[in-house]
Amino acid sequence: MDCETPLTQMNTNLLSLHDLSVHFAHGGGQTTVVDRVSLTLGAGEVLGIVGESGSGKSQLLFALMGLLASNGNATGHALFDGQDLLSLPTKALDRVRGASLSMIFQDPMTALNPYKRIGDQLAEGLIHHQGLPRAAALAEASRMLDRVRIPDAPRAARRYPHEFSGGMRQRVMIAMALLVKPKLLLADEPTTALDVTIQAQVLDLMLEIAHETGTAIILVTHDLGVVARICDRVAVLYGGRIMEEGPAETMLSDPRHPYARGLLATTPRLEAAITPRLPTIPGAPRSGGAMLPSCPFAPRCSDKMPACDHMPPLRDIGPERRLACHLEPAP
Amino acid sequence: MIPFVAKRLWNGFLTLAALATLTFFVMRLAPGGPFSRNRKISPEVQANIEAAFHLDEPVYQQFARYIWGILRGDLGPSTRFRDYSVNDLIAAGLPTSLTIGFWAILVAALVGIALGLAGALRRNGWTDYAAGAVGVIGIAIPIFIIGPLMQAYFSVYLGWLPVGGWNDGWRSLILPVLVLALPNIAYISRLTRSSTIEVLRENHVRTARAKGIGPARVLLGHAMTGALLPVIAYLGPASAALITGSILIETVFALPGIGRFFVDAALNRDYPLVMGITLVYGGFLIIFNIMTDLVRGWLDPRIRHEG
Repeated sequence: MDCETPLTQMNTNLLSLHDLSVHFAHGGGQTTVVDRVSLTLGAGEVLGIVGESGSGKSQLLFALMGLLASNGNATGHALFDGQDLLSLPTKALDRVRGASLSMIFQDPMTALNPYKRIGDQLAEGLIHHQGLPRAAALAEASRMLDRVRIPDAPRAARRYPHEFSGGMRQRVMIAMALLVKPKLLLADEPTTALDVTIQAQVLDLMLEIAHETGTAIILVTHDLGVVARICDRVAVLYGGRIMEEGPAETMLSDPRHPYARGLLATTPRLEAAITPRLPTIPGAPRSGGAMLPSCPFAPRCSDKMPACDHMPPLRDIGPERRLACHLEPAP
Repeated sequence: MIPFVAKRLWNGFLTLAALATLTFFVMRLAPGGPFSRNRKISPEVQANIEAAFHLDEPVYQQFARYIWGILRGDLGPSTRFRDYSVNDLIAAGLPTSLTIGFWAILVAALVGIALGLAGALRRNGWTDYAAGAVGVIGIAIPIFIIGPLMQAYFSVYLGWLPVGGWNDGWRSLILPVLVLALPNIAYISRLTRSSTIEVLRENHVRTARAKGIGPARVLLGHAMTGALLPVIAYLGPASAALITGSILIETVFALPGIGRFFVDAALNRDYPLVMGITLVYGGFLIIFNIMTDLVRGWLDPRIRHEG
């Protein structure tokens, strides 16, 4: 590990990604869905990763959890708590995931085991990682269910997932993920599958508990409203690459990348004058294929220029802000 | 849980009643009767025999007599095997069929599930290919080919096991059990393999892996239940079919089970024996289906709660 001393020196960060890429092998070819992503995250920080469907957001999280499909492969480094998640053998990874690193999935209807009582599913992690006796773990589980406002928690713990609504199941997932008091929570579009009316409520609950336990969050979403409300920092992903990154406040008020600006423009606002049509970004996101040397957004970009044939590097453009675009001259 | 069982028992009873009725009338619709022979016998003798077996009565009266008999547990006299009642014949043949069927289904379930799991967990490994080969052989080659082949090799050539019969204790069991289990091993291993592969891709198994509880617990605690549900659904009716005797196995290995009686009885229009064996088979099928439902309900709360 000698060659990696520069990485380990960044010990103030809870998580630092260096050139993380995710490839999928298929047929005889290979598709790159995440391309050399570098990011850092401090303890307790909330980072939003936004982008359209297919931009590689979820696969980035799966790579960290070691949950890529069997034809998937992650390269680069993901230093979490002093360990490189990408090079850990399964046994060592199993001491991290579910203990100091947990994840909430997109679809609460299928993410819970239909054959097991939810109390047992919650307690399982505590029993395994913290060596709690079953009774104590179950008590802890039902306290956590109460905490996520599942009514009559001790009885609810003895029920099965199919007896709960989608919103309740996602709250159960939140309880399960946060019960172990992880240092980092990966949330993959946790409210996308839920009714609009309860999205905010579920999100706030997640945030509230994470705050209590000092848990940092990476929230993958395509909802900029959510990002504005709860994230400290935002990274905009397109075609598996980071296009722009910075503090949520400044980035959302002053996005520099054409794609980030487009995303913001397409977000409906209540206070804006009623326009006949919602603006859209023309074209469709690129899907599959080998990585091109050009900027992946160039075909849809209204500010395209000859230089876009080469993907610009992500560089600093101000306090804590980074951008990968030829539009902005270096400061 | 109690309404769950009660409902299935009641359904089972209705099915059995329908089966008894249907068998009774279908048998009587077939041309000829138990005592129609090519060789002419005098009308008086014919009438006497038919009177002895109540075949001269109107059909509804025969049916009432038959149902009354069933309710008392008496399946009537056999018309083919004189001097024996159907109860005697079933009591004589059933234990043999039960023994062979029990061991065959046990072997088929254990070996089939093990091969299927091995194939699913190490896809395209050598166990997977071996299991695939067993599957093709077991399904494609009929019992009456593979049975004699095994007899020729293990009994005649090597001389390890008896060719047939029922007089050598456990050694008489091995070949019939193996031959009877083989197609089921094939089917069960294919079923286990495909359902395990499917379940391992499910989202809740991914959640389990995300918990860091280790591959063994992910498999046993989270993937196994879903993977075995289809296998259990198959095992129920298959067990009923196996333990009530296989005519092919009993013929190839000269075993005194009820499978042979059944075919014999059907060919000779032995009404009471055919109906008796049909009812026994139906009864086992219903019992095993109820047991299957119970096990599936026990494993899957969604089935249980539907009632």
